[in-house]
Amino acid sequence: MEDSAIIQLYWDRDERAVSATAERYGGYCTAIALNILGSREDAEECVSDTFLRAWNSIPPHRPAVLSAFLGKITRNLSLNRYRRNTAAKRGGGEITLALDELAECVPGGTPPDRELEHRDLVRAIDEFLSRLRPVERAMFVCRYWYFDGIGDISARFAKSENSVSVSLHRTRLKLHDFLTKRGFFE
Amino acid sequence: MNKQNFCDIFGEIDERYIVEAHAIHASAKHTVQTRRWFAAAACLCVLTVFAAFAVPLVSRTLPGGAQPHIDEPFFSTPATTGAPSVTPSDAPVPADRIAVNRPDELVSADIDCYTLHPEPTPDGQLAELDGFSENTGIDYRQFLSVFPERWTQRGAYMLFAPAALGADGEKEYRLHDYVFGFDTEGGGSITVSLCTFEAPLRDTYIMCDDPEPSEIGGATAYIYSDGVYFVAQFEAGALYFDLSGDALALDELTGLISSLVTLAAE
Repeated sequence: MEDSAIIQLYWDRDERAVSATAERYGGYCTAIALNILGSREDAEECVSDTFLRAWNSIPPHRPAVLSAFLGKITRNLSLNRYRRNTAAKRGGGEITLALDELAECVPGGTPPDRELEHRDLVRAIDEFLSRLRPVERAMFVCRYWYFDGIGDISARFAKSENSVSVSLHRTRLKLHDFLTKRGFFE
Repeated sequence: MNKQNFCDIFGEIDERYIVEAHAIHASAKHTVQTRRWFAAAACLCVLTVFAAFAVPLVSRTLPGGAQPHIDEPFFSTPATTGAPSVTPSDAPVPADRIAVNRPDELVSADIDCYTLHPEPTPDGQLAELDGFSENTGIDYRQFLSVFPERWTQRGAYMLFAPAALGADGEKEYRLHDYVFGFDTEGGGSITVSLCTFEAPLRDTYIMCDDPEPSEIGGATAYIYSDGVYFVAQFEAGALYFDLSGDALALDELTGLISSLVTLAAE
């Protein structure tokens, strides 16, 4: 079923929307949750919560890109659960390593506490991404948005793991420099 | 800020990049499984078309549907004269260093875009693309004069891609690329795309470890070829260019790049 038809089911409050979403995007959402949580049981719960969240937010929301909309919900829910699990000292998937790597991009200082600054930072990251070569950008997003393992990225992009690691490292340093030059977190 | 705050903020990046990365997932898997470069079918998700396709968007890919003759000489059409004729001033091409990279892999991806073709003028000529001169800073006629007269202009169009979600949650598209297609006298074709803020969109990504750059006319360009088809990407002035096609002599390609670099820098 096409995305537009699935979204229409949500708008019609037709419960088949959930099964259609699960059929089309269940695997996609589970992969994201599994990367973050490393536990199939936790991942499946997050995916179920994703569908519930989608049911509660459409309408009034009408997602432009359903996959990205669901992926964002799954990512957020999974990250929240990951934090709870970490506090309880259990679980954790690929994200543990990816977060340590991502620390290289983060300049010191306090987090942006105002909505405007938050949006500025997202915009700056978008601008940085727009300047990358597409493959470089896709690998970076695979690693730090989807939390794909280095081995997975290596296979998908037909590159050696070393080549992927080097590319990600360079991009992290470039992002760090870019944000520092833009004056974030001084 | 700690890494977890940053991770949350990174989660809000433009949906276009999220979709792009996912599209490469699926396509790359397929390509690796088949191990055939040129089986990677270019597939565009053209959402809206306002006019007939004078130039199929798929022509921007490297390669097209046909299997290339890899054993044929590289850049199969020789230049018709010694110096590239594509430089309006006939100035020598300052090709300091040319490197042609062979792609390791080509990965196709669905991209979310639509194209807009201008209506032809009453005399059947191709009309100027809206806002070209204002947006690029290049006079339209001057831009077209860079291309050899012996080439036939196949068409031109504008390509729009999602930029952001509007206040009502609807996807908003913005102009991304101006695209021009030409047929060369040697039976080849070339497509020139330019964008004012980032590299023009492609529906086929070129996988190449550490490609060697070329220095052409003072700009750094990356040239890729499998032996017949080519892609050249470079930045000049405030513009980003993407050239692709086949059956073009290397000196014609570098001459064209040099001319575009000169024009963009003016």
